[in-house]
Amino acid sequence: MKDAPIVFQAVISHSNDPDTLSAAIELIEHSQRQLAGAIAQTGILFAAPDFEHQVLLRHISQAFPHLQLIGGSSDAEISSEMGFQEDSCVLVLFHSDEIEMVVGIGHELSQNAAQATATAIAQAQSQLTQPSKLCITFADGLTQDGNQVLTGLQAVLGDHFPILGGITSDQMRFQQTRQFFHNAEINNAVMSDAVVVLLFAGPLQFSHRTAQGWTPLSQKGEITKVGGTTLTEINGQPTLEFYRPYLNGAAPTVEYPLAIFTAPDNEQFYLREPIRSDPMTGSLTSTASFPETGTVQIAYGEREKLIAASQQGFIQALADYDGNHPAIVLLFSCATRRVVLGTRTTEEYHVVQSLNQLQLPIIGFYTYGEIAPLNYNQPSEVHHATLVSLIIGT
Amino acid sequence: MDITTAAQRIQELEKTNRILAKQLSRSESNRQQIELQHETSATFLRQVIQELQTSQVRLEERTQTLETTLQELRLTQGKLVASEKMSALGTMVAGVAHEINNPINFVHGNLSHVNLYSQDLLHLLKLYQQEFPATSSKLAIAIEAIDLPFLEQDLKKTLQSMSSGTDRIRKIVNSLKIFARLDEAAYKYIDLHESLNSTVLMIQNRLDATEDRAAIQLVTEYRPIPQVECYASALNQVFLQLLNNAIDAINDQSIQHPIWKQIPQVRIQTNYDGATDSITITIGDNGCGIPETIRPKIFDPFFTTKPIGQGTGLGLSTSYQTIVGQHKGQLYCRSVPAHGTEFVIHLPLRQSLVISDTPHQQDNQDQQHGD
Repeated sequence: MKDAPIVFQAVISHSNDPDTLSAAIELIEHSQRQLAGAIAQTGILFAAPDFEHQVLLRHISQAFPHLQLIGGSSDAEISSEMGFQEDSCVLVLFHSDEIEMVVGIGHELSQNAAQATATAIAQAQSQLTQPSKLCITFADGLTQDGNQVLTGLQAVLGDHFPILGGITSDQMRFQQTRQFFHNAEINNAVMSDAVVVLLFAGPLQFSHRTAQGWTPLSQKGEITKVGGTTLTEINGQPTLEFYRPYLNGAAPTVEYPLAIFTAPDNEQFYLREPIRSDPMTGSLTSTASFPETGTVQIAYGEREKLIAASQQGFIQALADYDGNHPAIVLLFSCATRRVVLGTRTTEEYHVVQSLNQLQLPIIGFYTYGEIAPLNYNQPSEVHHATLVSLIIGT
Repeated sequence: MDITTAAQRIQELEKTNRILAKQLSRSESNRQQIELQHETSATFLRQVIQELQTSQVRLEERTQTLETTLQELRLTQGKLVASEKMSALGTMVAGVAHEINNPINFVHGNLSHVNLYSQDLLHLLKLYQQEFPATSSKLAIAIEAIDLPFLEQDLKKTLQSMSSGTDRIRKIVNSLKIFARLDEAAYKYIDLHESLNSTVLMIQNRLDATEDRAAIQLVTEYRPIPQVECYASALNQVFLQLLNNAIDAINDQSIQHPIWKQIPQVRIQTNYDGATDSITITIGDNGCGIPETIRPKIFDPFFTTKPIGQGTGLGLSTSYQTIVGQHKGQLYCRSVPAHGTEFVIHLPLRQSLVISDTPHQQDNQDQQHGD
């Protein structure tokens, strides 16, 4: 007798109604129709910063009483229902009979990232009966170094544990981002300076790839002075001096991230985008820390290359998927990609959708920093200006 | 339309209105962002292009420098090889000359004694004949057998011939030493006619007749010239190169035109020009000539018309370096294909004057010394 397939259901709903209540009702009604009586156990919510997030959470949690939910504010949202949208909210709800899905939250990241992350993981793990296999996380990158958050999670879960997610965003305002959390103990929490996690355990299958597509174009420079997420000097000069000839003295923006080469004479690099600069000290700040030393180059994002890289990344993620029943595609794309791609941002989604022959539901958001292995089979890292494709199923 | 439908329709319109209002405000900020992005993108790319152009210029300059350095290295390498060859040849020539010099001096020096002793013996024989005229039949037969009157006459001639032979050997040895000039590593005043003659001696055997042609006639038209301040051994190498080229051109002409009727000829002319205080040496031939198309390249390093393995392409470039670079002279050629070629060398009489007159050339001269 053949074993019955494992039930793992992911339903998505997407609303672009700017009115919070109307949007919440749309999300709930659409989700309920798809669930068809199944109980939503966990969910992920991405919502533009202008929504009344607590109202959204309250209605969703009331509609799905057993729900554990995480999420965060987003720069823009993606789903297979409405494609690329700005100022919208998107919800995915999971239901499974064998796969365990539990959430956790850590507060006051800026005070003690290690403790906050350990608390979040401990809270989630305490509900599991099996070892966790995958961690999805969202965190505040404006109050704490994204690397510190990741290091905290890896300290508990292990360096090579698959941790994927993103830094929450606020439509390039760089003022305050939100993290969402709801479970039986902590209801409808809309936080800042927090980290939220969703752990999966049981017979789960997943695959992921990170796409980049940027070209380092400026002269090379050497990092000479760093203070965490603030890069003070390149080549012994204020960092802004390094940028000056390229931007005619204008303040560096996210479209001109720094490519940081991982080793001398190595062409592999990751990107750090500047979210603010200080003309007094000539320094710039990012949402994740810079290395103490290393070679840097200002990178340029050519639209064709960015889209081609996204396509290639998704093709590889599909090829890597070992399970028989993929259930959902999660996309974590950098807000910088949206800015650079401009009116062609929808193409990034469409190249993924065109390859989605199984018509899997897709959900994603635009972040201030993506968390995923940069290269296959490597530990997770925080990087900017990338697109992370994550396929989950059984 | 009933009330419910109308209410739904109103709700939909209100929603659409909200979405459009939001999209409008967002699109305005996006438009501003795109405009700013466009400007910064242009500035960024302009700077990158400028850097690339600067980098390209630097790269071209570097390539040019590397090419020049490579050319100089190849030339120096060629000169070293040629110099090494000539040095080895010079050492051998000087060694042979030295080894022959001593024994031939013994022979030449003793020939006068042999002459004296033989005259004394003949005189003594005559005295015997006068004092004892009644000779025995045995003596008469022996005198007749050796043809004593002829012996008396021929012995003297034989000794004179031997003397002129050894004299010639001594001159040849001296010429070899002059050609090698191993002891002359600096500028010295030299008799160029002596140098030319000693060099001709080195190629003497190549002038002989071959299967393809008659013997080459060597015509020398030497005008009176003062001694010239020069590197003698280096100049001898130039003369040797030009004479060998002249013979090669005649050989090529003989092969290319088997019914060639002219007498093959190599001409060496010298002249002194008081107005410019310089010497002109012309080495010409009536060989195959140099085609006009390749004439501009003949002084280029590694240019050769000879088959692979038979010519390095360094002979004329090294000669040019010696005359122009080392001696501040001129070297050029005049050629008519199928009729012949003339290489003309102009040499200043004194190097010291050229050097002091032209400070710029002093540097070059020093560089040449350094080479």
